[in-house]
Amino acid sequence: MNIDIKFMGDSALVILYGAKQMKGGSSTIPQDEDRIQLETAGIQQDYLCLYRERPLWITDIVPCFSSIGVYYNPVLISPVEAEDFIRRRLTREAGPVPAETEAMSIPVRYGGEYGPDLQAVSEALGMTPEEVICEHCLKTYNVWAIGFLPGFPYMGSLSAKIVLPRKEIPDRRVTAGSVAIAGYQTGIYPYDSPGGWHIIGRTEMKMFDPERAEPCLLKPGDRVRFVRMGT
Amino acid sequence: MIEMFAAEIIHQGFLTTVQDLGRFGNRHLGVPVSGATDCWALITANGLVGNEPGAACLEITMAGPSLLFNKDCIVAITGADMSPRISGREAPLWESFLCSAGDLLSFGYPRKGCRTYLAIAGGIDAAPVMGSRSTFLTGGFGGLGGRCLLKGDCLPVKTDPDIEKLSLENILGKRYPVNRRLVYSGRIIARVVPGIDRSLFSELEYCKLFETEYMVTGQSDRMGCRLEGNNIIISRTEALAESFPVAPGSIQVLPTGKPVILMHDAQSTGGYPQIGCLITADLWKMAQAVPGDRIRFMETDVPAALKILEDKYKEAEVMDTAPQTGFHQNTGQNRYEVTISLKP
Repeated sequence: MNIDIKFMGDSALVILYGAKQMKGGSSTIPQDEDRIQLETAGIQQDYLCLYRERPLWITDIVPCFSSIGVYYNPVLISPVEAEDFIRRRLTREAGPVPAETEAMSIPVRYGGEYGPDLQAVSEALGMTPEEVICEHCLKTYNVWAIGFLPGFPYMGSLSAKIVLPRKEIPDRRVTAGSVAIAGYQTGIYPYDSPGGWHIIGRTEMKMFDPERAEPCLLKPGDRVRFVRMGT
Repeated sequence: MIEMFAAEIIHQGFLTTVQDLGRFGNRHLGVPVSGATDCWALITANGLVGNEPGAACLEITMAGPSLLFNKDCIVAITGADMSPRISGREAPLWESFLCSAGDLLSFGYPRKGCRTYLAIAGGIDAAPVMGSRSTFLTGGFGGLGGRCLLKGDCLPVKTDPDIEKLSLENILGKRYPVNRRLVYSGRIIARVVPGIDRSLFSELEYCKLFETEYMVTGQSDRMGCRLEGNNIIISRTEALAESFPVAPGSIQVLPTGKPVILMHDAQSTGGYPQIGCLITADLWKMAQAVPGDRIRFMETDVPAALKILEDKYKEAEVMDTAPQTGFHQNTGQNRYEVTISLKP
């Protein structure tokens, strides 16, 4: 894939993919379900390739939708060497594609008090709530990135049938565990927090718990399926 | 039995948290690095009491707490001068000294600067979360219960037999050289390298960043530092359609045309154009800035930034020894004043 690498300060590099290099327009996310799937898959493969065999001087690797941040310890390596390493690592013969991990099932109660926006979402889409739920449960999603709050997964790609822009006025308080959609993405709020996505359901699974050995339930590259629970 | 905790919080102050050098390796999970915002003051404080550079300390913001010591501890205070007092007497800054059991260490308000660091020999022994003892307030974890210190909290310190053996002469009176101590002037010059979104700004707009005198606003905390200035910077796109990685020091231009500098508790990704990024060696200047302080940016490049960083690491750990030091010891009803003359 065509990449560009830029310095972010003195201790990080950002790998930029395709579209971003020519950005300047307001949107770099392709507005097409299959293209999004294809492009993010390539970035995810690069992320996993870097993450799985990361050298000690790399402190963090953060995948986004069309970029990857690589944070390094400048005491251990020079930025030029770091860039060189990344270029070599990403342009070498692609090894065997890692086997897809088994999708994690996340139980969700949809609608009613758990999904206060489900009714409005279905009206806006001209569908029944039932159809929206079925569409949301139908696909297996990829965790593209985690951000906003510890453990908040940005997942996609959502079926084009249930794509809506974010809310114009964000909610001041969204309950932890809320399952939400916005654009081609679906996510889960790990904490009670403000939020601008449409809340269609809620899970009891804890997305983030610092007491757990693995505090974060999901990580970039994971696959997720939503399973409908009786309400 | 030796009491495990070092001191009890008698008065909580404005905002005091446990911080070390940060929580690395978890930014892909949405977990920011956190850690001391003035890392140099923390490194120096640790050096003065014989700790590892990244041992956990207290980061004291804007108004200090009072601590009642429960056992004899060697401590050091660095950063902003909050007029610390030990049982009523003036306590030294940038110098190690002894707090005896029963001593009350209190802090006032900073004369200049914003944050003070208190290191205790052995390091504050809060339970590490994801590899760090730093408090992340938004996430509610790290440090003491993921929150700021409250009245009644007890500070645990690592009681390692080796620490007990450290002789007083080796540690007491260790000083950070007077000529190297940082001066918080209220007029900041911060060095910046071009940001990943440099191309989203015309030459004219980009130059405004360096031509404008900015003022630090009250909307500044461990997540970010918002600035006000007479100029408005216009980017070719107001908000990006998606998020990109950010780092502590990233300067984002908000849709209002005003910059915000991201700090250690900021999210790992952000959706506003990044015009520049502060060099790591200068981030402490924002940590010590108070609302109303003036800031000017100066452009530099990555190789220069790294040279400055290398020097900064060396500088943070330079120590000398005070010609003499003293402490007092409370034993029952008696109070002993001890003065030690030290070899140069």
